[in-house]
Amino acid sequence: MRSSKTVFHGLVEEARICATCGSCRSVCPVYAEIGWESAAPRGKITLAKKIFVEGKENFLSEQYVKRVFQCTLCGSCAEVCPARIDTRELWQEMRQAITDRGKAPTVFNQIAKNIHNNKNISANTNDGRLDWADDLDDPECIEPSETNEVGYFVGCVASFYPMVSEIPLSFVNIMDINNVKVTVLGTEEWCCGFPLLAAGRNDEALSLVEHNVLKIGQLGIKTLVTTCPSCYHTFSHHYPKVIGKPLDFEVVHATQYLSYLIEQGKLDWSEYEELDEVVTYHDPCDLGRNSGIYDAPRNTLKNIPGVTFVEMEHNRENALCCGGGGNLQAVDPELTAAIAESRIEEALKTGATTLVSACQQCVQVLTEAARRKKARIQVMDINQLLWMGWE
Amino acid sequence: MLDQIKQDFGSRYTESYFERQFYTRDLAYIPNFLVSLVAKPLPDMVVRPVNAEEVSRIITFASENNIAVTPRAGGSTAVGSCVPTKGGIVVDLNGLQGVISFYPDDEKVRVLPATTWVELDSYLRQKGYCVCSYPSSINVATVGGWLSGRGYGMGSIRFGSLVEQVISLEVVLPSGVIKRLTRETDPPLQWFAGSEGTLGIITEVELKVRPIPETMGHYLVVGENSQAVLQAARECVGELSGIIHNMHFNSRLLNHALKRKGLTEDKLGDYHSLAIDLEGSPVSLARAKEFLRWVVDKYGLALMDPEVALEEWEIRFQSLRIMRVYPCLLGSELLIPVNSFHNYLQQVEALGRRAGVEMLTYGHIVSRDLTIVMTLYCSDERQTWRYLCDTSLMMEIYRVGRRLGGVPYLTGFWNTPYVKDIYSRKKLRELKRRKTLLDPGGIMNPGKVYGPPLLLQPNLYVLGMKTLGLLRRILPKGVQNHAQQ
Repeated sequence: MRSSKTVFHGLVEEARICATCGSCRSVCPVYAEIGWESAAPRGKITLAKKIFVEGKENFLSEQYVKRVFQCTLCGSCAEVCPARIDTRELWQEMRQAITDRGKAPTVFNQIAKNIHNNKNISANTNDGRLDWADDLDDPECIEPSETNEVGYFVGCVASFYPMVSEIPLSFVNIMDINNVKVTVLGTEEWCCGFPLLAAGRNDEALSLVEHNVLKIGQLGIKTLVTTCPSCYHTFSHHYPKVIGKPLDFEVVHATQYLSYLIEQGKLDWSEYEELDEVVTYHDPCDLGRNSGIYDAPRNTLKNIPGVTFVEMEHNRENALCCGGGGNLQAVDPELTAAIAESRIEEALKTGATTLVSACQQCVQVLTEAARRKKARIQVMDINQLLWMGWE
Repeated sequence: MLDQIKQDFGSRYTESYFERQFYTRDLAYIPNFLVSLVAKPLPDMVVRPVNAEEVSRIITFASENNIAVTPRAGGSTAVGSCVPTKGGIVVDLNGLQGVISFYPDDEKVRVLPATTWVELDSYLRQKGYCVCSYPSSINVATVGGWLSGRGYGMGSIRFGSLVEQVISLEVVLPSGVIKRLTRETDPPLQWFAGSEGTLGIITEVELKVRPIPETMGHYLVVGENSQAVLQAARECVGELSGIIHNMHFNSRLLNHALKRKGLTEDKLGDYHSLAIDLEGSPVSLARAKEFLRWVVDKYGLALMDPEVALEEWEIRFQSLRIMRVYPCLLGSELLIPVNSFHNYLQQVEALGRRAGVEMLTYGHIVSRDLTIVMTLYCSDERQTWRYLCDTSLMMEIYRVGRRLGGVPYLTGFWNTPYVKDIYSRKKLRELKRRKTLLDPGGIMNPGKVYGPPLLLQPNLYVLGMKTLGLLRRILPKGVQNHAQQ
């Protein structure tokens, strides 16, 4: 996992450590599309030295702010940094510093407003948190009961955006058909805080963190499962820092939980209808590079009857980003689209019939890219693929 | 014609100050006021061509209008090779990236010049092949860029410098003509090796590759006596050159500094170390291991645990982690005879003791005779005068190296004061003849390689450096960057 190799001692110190060698530039999906040095990580740090180390605030131009927020927080730059700078932390702290100066893109104001008012990123009230569950065969299966040991944190996108509501439906159906009890927080599930952290509004995320930790504790949840890699990363990496102690519950991503259930023989394959799919896997940045989870999704895929698994050229820690991370889609949707199309092109080269990811944002962005390119490949979440054989 | 170029290149052309400012430097930090005394690093425009024809159009335009052209790809040197000295046009070549074709039967590949070595090697490895040699800056250095330098790095002991692996080149000459070069053409491809972009722009490289080696073995020799370690290195190069992939020396001071920050194995911190990475058949590696044991015994050295040796191999591209110990480093990169390495180390560390800084040295042995040596020391760029005065030690390091037969590894712009040391009079005359022949207007990467500008003439340069050296002794001591230990 990258975080074991990289270090972070604050924006000023790390900006000074950067030798501007440019290793980061070669792997940056944003630079690959924009092509100017200003879009490369080393370019952004070059000016960060002037602004935040030397105090030359006149370099904090609108163009520079735009470049700083044109970033998916994919962590590729941290992966190759020979000075071991945790650049993902660096970008977030830079965003915070820019936000503190009142110069962040205004688009984030609406996201922050939604989260503040609705406790989720959408324009809908949190009362609709469980609307997706109306389509469950047994909606009551996720109600709190006496055994709430396993909790499912659905995440804002999967809860409120119908395009990806199949993901929580599939996950819960898989659990239900295999007699694994999971509980959701319902309207007490608030945004995990990641969109605020990525927007450089760390302070505003505090109340969300405290609320979620409290409610999870009240339900007696021992294991919290997420299908969203960003929720997973925020819970496992940021929450302990924010509350100042380890969490009282374990956090796992759905791919880890599925892999665990498979290894324990707890999935019942007797009624499973074998698939006939050639599948390639897109590592979500927050699950792969930023959290170090590569094997669990692959173990799961390789155990699905009828799946032939093939890798893309860039995989695991070298996987290309889908373009949808770090709030980039809100700041520069065209850039997100261009990055996603590059990933679709790579997936097509494998000859796969299905491109699977383990993230609702990757699935949404890549689905749209495949549609635009009229690519003959279906895009879905790993839970959707797995559920197909039981459906 | 400029209007036509602007129109054709569209978003790949810029005159924006915001974009241009990023092309005014490479790895080296030199205060702007000092640079502006000797050069004009801010380009007037930057263009990003995507093929040789577009490169040709830009160069033709520049040639007809006598505008300086500075080619740039990885931008990872520290001597100003890709930084303009006369404004003009920066040709950002990163749009010329990727493998054109691979010929496994002939063990060769045709590749665009801005392809990074890591991309090329990754591409080949998926097909069971790999590059013969590569730079330690593999993640950013490009095929064309490395060829334009000296092209020594990992794999060079066995395969020589990069030019020895090159079969043909496509270049755009300063006239705008696109030409394919081999060893037999006029000019031959060898002219472009080490020319640092001053003769034209490389737009395609055809080079030899090889099957992935059957086996690799990683060894780490350590000792308290640098002479013994380096004698062992020479003995190994003599005996094992056919199977040595990489041989890397770290001084004890460097290992100790890394240890202080937990950036290397604790056990390494008290020793000089020599990483030896071998490749070949299992039988040849088994024999080599026996030989290594014999050498280690002979010189009273020790072999570290295999896990430690493997870890050193895996972090071989992370020399810059030393920046975590000292966030601001100055230094000199020299090519010195292997036989002189020990004396160099002794003398440069003595220089450091006199100057009150740790001299941190590492070296890549790249042939039976030559080592690329990097010596670094800490400074503080936040204290401008202190930083400037500290640069005087770079000349002192160089003088130590020169006494022992060393020369700067690259010339670029900042090492032009040493050009008469780097090349013999005859060689320099020949290089200038080639330059005049191919680039009579002097538009290609002006200010590099052939000689210094007025203020960097050797006498003035030495005087300036010596003055800074004297000032350094009377200025208050700089903030020591290792305060964060």
